[in-house]
Amino acid sequence: MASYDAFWLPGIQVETTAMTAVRDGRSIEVRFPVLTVSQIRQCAARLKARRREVLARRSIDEIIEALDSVARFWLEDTPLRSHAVTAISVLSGFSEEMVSHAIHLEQISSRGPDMRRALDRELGNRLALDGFIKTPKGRSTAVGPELIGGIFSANIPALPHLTVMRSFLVKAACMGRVSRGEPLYLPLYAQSLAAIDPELSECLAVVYYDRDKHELSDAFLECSDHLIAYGGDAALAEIEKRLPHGSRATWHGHRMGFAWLTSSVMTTSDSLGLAEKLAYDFSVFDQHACLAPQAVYVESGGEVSPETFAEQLSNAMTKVRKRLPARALLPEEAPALRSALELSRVEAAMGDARLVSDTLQSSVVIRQLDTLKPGPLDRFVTVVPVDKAEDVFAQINPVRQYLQCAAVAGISEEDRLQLARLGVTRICPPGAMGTPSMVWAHDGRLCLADLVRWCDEESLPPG
Amino acid sequence: MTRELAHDALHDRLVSFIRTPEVGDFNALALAVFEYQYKHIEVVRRVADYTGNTPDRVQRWNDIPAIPARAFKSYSMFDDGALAHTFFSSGTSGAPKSKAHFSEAGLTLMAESILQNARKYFLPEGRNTVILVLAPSPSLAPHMIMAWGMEQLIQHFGLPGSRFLVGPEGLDQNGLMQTFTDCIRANIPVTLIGASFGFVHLLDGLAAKSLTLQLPEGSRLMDAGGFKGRSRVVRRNDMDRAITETLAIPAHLSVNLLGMTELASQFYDDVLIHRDPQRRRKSNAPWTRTVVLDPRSMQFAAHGTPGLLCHWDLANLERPCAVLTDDLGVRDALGWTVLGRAKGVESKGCSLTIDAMLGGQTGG
Repeated sequence: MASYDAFWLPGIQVETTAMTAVRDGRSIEVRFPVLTVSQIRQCAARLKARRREVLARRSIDEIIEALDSVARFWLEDTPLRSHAVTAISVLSGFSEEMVSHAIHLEQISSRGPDMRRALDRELGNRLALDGFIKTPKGRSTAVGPELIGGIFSANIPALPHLTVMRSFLVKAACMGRVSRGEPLYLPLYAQSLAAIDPELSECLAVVYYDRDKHELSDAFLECSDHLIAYGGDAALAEIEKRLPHGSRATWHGHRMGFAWLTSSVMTTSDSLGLAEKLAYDFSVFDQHACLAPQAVYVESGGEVSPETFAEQLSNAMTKVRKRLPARALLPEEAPALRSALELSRVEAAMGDARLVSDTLQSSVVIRQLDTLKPGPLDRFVTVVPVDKAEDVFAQINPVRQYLQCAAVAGISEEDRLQLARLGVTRICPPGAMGTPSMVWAHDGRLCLADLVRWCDEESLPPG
Repeated sequence: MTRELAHDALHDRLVSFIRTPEVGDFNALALAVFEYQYKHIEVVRRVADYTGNTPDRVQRWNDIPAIPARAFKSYSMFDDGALAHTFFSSGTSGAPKSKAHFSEAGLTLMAESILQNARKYFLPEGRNTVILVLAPSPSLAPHMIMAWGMEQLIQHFGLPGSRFLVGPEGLDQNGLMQTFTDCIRANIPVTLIGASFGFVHLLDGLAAKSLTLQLPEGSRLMDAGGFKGRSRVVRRNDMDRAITETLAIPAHLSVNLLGMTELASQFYDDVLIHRDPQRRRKSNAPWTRTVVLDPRSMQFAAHGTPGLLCHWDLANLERPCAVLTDDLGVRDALGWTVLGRAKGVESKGCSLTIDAMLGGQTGG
């Protein structure tokens, strides 16, 4: 049985405890570290020292070059990559095809040009990270924190490396606490970094501790100059409560997306293509991403009715499954989906919904909603017929703090602006919901700019 | 036959089956109940028609289509008898609640079920105990089905002094301690009943004062509901140890009860019968059945594999008799146990409101 470390702690000896994960007859062993408070502090001190010696001395373009090499490595077929695919598939239930696809998507958007564009968008000029640059009133430089702490969730395979990249892009070392559900990708990413750029890999550490080990969690939070945390509302609230006074943090909590198709695109020539694109959006990462759509609002009155579109979408979902098979659920992972399907069946029997398809691999139900709300995930599609734009706004207004991505087709500029006002942070065409670029302001924030502190040299008199 | 006549005839058959199950046939009665519900409960009829499991095709009780408990929140599940009372599930304020409608006859049938069940699994000695309920009375919480059921136990098994101890101000600690003292002096067994979380508060309170009590022999305890997700997570063994140490109630006289607003019957632990707390399983009264379904296939889950609990309760004559829950459970050769609320489905439960009333809602 293959065995994997859920940690990356160069230069530190740790005891481990092993756990075996089994799914569909495949099994792997995961070794979790048993850490002490002093080991976390020791690790942080070491990371900060290596940051001064490595990251602080390199130019930003050298760092980008190194990170780009790592992205290129993950885009190739290597033994390390196939280990990652198998192991994450066993742990998370995502099909190997989906994990592999996820790695591809994450890394294709982690290339040099996008990193440069993201820094230039957010800082004006990335060279401000290397020294003072000229500004209209004098000179400015941007300084990143020494150590960024990352707390990760397990919803998307192969995502945590984004936080490592963000850290290195502001010349900060990174200490990541992986989630129990998917602790493996980051240590494997660190391995690839060590092979490509050993010095840089010493600016990264991956730890794990149980959430209720408060003394370890407190040590982790104390050592982090800036925290980037992913998770559910309750988990984030718990972390925020323990965060030392005055600490800086970026929170990535629960978010959800939706799609909106106007009657003007519900034509016989367009609807099939839109169905195929949306089927991909509902299937990629099995709907677990914060960007994933939970429902699609389809305007009535077009050439193609919402009901016919729902059937086209259902057929397209089946087609996507051939390329990207659905998650293999363990019995304890299936109740939410089953419960939603059983309730939909009652609603269908009562004439309040129509179940177009109802398998565990993908399901499409047509019904009204009182508001947009998260479904059970795992490719559960709710098609909501609407009459006009105001119906969509009324659906999303009550949940505006949770809105993320909207895939739209046929809507006006004014309606796009209204989506922005209501809290949507990303608008894209159908088919692109799961593939944001690094330049996108994640959760509506400038995530790199949030990390740096500016120092301005003002040599000119005011006026 | 009119609905009333059909109802009354079935009601009488059910009462006699509950009283003397050895002379009845569960499957035949279940099919009769289903046929009645198909005719008189719209949701049952529509779901049966939709799934194709109609009375003319169903031969076995487990093919009677189960209605998801969550559907009790959005649909009326009543046979259109004369409505006498409605119970609501607890839950977060503002969220839709499950509703269970009862006629007078329906309440009688529920009382029969409660009494026969309690007599077998909890109070076989009859009226020899002072029953103290750590929950609000039905007059304070008219919509809480658990309070109604506990009142039945007080009326039929409780000696004078039996009562509800949670008022608008919370738990009456002084009254509780006084009754403990009185019962110890008179050597009358005490029966404590409450939501699982009520006992967490009680045991915490006694422990804080370093109080231990030697309740009279035969004293016992029944906790309803579960623990997860509230003040703190308590494990059964830890709670039983605390109960034994603090109140001198042995673990085999500490019984958990699974009940839900959507059902008229409840499911007791069987420990009082075989007196071995290490093999604690839930029991099915003869007029109920429970299966564990693999949520992936909706087929019976293999022993040891967790799945969704699905109950058939013939005392639910006026409401759907087959209810699919969001509770995870597991079966083995000895019986079934509840593992807790399935992940990712909305949380609810009686323990929640009572915990809030007792002031434990800020814990983590």
